Amino acid sequence: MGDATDTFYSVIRRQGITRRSFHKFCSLTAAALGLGSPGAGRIAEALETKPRVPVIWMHGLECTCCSESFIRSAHPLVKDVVLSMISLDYDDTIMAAAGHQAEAILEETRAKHENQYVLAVEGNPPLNEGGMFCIDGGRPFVEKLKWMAEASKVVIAWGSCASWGCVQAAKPNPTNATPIDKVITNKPIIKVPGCPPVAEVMTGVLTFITTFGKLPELDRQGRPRMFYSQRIHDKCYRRSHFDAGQFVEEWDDEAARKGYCLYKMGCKGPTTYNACSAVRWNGGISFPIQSGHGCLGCSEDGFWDQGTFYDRLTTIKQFGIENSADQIGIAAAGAVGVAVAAHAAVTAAKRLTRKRYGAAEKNDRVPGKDNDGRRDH
Amino acid sequence: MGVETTDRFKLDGAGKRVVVDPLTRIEGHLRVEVNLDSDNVICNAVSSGTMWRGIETILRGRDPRDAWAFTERICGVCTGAHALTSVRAVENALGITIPDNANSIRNIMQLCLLVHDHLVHFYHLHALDWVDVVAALRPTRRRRQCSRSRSLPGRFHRRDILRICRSGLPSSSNQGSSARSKMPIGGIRPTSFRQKRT
Repeated sequence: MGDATDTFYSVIRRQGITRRSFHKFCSLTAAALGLGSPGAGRIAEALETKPRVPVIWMHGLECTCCSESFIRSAHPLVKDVVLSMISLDYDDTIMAAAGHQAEAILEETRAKHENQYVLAVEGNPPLNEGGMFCIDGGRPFVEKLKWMAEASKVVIAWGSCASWGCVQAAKPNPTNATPIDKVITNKPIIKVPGCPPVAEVMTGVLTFITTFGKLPELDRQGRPRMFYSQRIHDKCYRRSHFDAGQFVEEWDDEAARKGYCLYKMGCKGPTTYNACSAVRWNGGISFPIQSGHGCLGCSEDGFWDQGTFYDRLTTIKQFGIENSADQIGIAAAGAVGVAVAAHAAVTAAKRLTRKRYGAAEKNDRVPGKDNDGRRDH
Repeated sequence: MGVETTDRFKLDGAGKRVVVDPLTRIEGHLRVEVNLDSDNVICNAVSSGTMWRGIETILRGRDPRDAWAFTERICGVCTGAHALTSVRAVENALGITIPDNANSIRNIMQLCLLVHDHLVHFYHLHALDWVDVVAALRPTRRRRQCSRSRSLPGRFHRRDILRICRSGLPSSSNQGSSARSKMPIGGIRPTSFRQKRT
């Protein structure tokens, strides 16, 4: 879909877009990424000078909901991303070519842009029966995925399928669907979980990678920290009802009509790290809790097998609103560290007193005299 | 060569064999194989979905209240339809009747999905069969007015568009000549059709 040596700026100028609109786009994108006004300048500079990044978007065992989400992005608009910002060379769902023409694009990109292209993977490979549960272009998807990953620069794992396994990996996982980081081990992988992920998160991640030529800061699970550092619960607009102990007890009761907290109806917001409550969906209109249903926790690992979606969470941890998973982890690690240090100190003190005691004993003994032999044991 | 598929369709090498795999712009993975005879007419066609996830197996033994969420993941393009049918199936099995208001809300949601799915399907998936996007993006004046590609059969010529302007909408076309009133959509028809007939 175009020459990858063009810059974003030259492409949009050719489409008749003014420089003013270009800068507006840059500042909107910077705002969406949370980079502030210096970020807008950096984005503008990168888009004016760097060639567009070729992107290959592959589909394994999936339901295309990630693509569906992606095409609804409002900031930046997906048309700007797909048609101008990146060079989307291959995507099963929205490309014009099919059959051997489509296959030829993969080979061409792999040869022409070796170690330059971004491999975006939607869905995951099944490993049972030699990968026969997902065949694409006459080859098992797992083979094709490894083959394309070899020559890629970075790999994006779209959605819960590619990141954790999602619905096809739920018990009993009949096809042995496996997250892509278990298959691709030698490339940097960024996980963008969610079923599907928020559209603005997807375009935001892609914008960051194509603009700055590197991955955004990741947390320990490989997710971009800028979008996955807070729980749904932390930014939930019904949080005040949770804190006040006002809960929906039954569907369609008075509390449900008043928009009270859905925690007792099985909302998984308190254990789910995602941007839904902050960014919201469909151009910021709403998100599941706002529509009156609890969060399913779709961006968390193995959310299908954590009991029913309508069971109340029993292990809820109360943390401050601005805490991230890592901060909590660090705090926990810190607490453990303190405990370890305390334990060590106590042990050392004990040892010291024992030593002193021993030394005192030793001094008490008179060399050459008959000892009780305790020391020699 | 002759192979029988699990659905008892026969694959063979008769005539000219054309394989399209992967078939793009659909949800999932599909392979289509056809055989053309000497007159270029399709004499055998077999399509096969080349992906299986086993959601029916995964659903077994789950809480019926959760079934909709699993079923919905069959397809991300038409999610709501799968979820709604799953909910109805559970309600039928358990003998649950829903109030009229609930039914109205479901109908509204279903119709919204219909509208949005229609837009997505046409503009993102289907349109590429009719419009040459790359040509449409080139900003020469002529192409801005009329995006077209010579390789596509349904293209319109600029003079067709001028003729729409002159003859007006279908409602006003009955004022024109009898020949024009027989033409589809306000007196225009795709160029390729006209070339065949005259």
